Amino acid sequence: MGTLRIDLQDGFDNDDVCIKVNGREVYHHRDVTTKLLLGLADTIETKAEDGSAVVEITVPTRKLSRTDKVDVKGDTYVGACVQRGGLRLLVSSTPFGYG
Amino acid sequence: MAGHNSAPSRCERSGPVSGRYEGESTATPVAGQERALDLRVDIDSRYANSPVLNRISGDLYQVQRIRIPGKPAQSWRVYLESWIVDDPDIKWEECHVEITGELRYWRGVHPPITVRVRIPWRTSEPVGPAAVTLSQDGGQTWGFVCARVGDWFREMNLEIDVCESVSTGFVLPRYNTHVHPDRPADIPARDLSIEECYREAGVRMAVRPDRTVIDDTAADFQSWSAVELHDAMERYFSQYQGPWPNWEMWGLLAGQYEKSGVGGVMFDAAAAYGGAGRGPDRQGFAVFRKHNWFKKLPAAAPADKDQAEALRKFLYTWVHEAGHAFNFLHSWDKNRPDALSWMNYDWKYDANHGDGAFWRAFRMRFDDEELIHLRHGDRPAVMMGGDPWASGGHAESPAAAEHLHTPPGAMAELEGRPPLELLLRSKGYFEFMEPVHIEFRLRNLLEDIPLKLDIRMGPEYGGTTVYIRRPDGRVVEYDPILCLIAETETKTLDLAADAEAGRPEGPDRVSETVFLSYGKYGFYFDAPGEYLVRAVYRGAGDVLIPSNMLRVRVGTPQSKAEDRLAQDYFSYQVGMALYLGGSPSEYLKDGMKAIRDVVKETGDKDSMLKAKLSTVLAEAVSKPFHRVEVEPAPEAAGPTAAAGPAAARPVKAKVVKVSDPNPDEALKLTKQALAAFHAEKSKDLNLMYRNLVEQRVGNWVAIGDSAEAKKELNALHRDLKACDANTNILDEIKEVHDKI
Repeated sequence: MGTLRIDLQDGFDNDDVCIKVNGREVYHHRDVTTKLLLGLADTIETKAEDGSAVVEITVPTRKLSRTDKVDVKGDTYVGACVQRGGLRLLVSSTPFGYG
Repeated sequence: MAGHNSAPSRCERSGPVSGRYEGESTATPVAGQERALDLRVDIDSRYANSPVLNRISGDLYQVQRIRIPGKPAQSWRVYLESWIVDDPDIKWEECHVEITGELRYWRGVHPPITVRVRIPWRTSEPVGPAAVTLSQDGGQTWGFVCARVGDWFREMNLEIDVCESVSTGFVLPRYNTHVHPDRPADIPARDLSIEECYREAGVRMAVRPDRTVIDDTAADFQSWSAVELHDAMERYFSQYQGPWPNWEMWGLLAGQYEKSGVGGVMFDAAAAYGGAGRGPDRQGFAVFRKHNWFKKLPAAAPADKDQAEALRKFLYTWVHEAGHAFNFLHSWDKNRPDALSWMNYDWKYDANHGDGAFWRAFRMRFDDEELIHLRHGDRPAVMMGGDPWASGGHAESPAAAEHLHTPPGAMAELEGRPPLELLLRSKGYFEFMEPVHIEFRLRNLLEDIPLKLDIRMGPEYGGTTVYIRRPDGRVVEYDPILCLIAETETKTLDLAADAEAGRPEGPDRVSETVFLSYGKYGFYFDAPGEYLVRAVYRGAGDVLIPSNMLRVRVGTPQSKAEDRLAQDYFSYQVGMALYLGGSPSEYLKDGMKAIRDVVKETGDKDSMLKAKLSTVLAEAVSKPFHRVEVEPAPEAAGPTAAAGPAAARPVKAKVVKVSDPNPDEALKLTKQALAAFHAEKSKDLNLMYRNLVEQRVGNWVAIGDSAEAKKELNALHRDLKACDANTNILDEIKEVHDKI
């Protein structure tokens, strides 16, 4: 069992964002906005078993949705950003840093 | 073949031409208008690992001098505006270089102006000075002679403080570019510090030697927020109380940020961007030593790749955060996601180019566009405490401000030693809808001669200009409703106060309360948020004295009712009624009603909003009111048709008294206001409190109650004395008291 940390990164601007992990809603917020100083809007941490996890992110305000399988191995990091009209997901075994 | 000339050249250049030059005007189109120029020449290699950008740029200043008999002239300069030449023509000759091109100003509209710079050199002599000529279409010409200052373009100081929890080990990094194997194969080996990184970029950064250790070891303190960091900066940054904008920056090595993923933050920006929301922006930043990035930071030279990576990231974070303070956005926010720059994120670059790609290609520098901004950008957009963060970054002007008239240098500072100080002060917080009054104070700074000055400081007289930066970053010039033409009102300010010389504070200064809420373009403080106010005093002559930058905050509506009242309040009629200090005019009756509604329905009894508006209502009934009544003259006998429709009938106009003063009502209206000022006891309100009491004293005298008038003057005297009012003010109050 590790921690799945999902960072909402660039491109969010007063958006509704809903995140489900393995079908369970772990985040649902309105007015999600990227802080320009950091390139980060919000961070969500949830416990996840090692193995494959299904991460579903929807942004109804932009009619965007994306579902990805993420390999969870210990602490795992997912970055989501709105880019070129779509949702993009990055997965990393090390935390993303901001500044 | 011609014979070989072996004579040594008389013009062997000892070093680069590029760098910073400064000097004053030698030729001006208008007599007496002296200028100074900071010139930046960027046309040849001036420093290792630093690209040449083929540009020149300059900052223009107005120079002011005062000559005191028997003493050296005292001078100061006021920043005016900046320009750049993007693609100059450069002609290298044996003994000089000539650079010509057309100026592009960052702000405002200018006629075409060309520049010619001629920089000579001789063997064994320093390069320069630069002879600079600015020529405007139509013939006006400015000439300058500018000595070379150094091979950098900007100079600034960095002050570093450290939190106790991370105070062991080194504070600032030093990283050798060859210590980590993932690097560009041909990157020159060199030791980089934050100073060296900026030196290569073109900025001479001096790290101040003194450091404060801030105790952050309280058991319940875990992490910093942006607001807490700003608070720490206000407390510990030794330069914080100085004038802003300024070439001063503060960096804090702290433990951990409230969002653990953050390795560093330039916290001094608008709250909407993730900053503290307390302008002026871009004065300070923090680096978080406990961040995951720095876990393997070595105590000395890195022993392995992981330690080298941590050290490299430590250097990156210092340079990156200071870069934000120079007004850099992240690379991707400037539509350059593939930039190899200190301002990009390695993992973001790698997401497009493959794991490790950033550090294998990054040459430890800013990209060219950023270097243009840093070296040659608009001065207020680069300088700390200048334009708000994110309003530069090559936009160089606050967003959406294009349609507003923002004179060059509107929020600029003063350098040197002026003979006079213009200080703006007020309380820091105004309630929503509360009229904004600011005290303007002129003070003689000379110890040798008294100054005779025009002391009318209201913008209506044209002697001062006021600039207001609104919460959205737009800078607007306050434009009064009235333009008043009157004889100069002069006063002699005594020599600067000096306790040792037996000169008290008071006779050396004069103050006036200036109303700034409403002007020609409506309400200036109608939105909650932070405002910055600066004024420039010109007086009767051509002296130019910018004030300090005053920061005030306007609060939010305290209730739904208050929010609803704002609809009627922010109107022409209320604005005019406030501007005129209350009016019984039938044309403003809706405005006066809206003011009465606000007094009745909002705030607690001691609120300044209520107090000030009550004073306006009272003022309207304290004096008689006259109206000009116009009546058509009786229809004249005889033919009128021949005269045609254009011939208006004669009218008769006469001034009639509409209302008598009502001192009882005025006293009743301001009873609570008096209690509010008495309760507040703030030095920032001294002038307004005094104005209110003087209004009431007039009303007490009008109804024949001298005892009450004296009682209130005595209370005012006591309260102002408790608020450190100067003796001459207290004496004036006593004089009024004794005359009653």
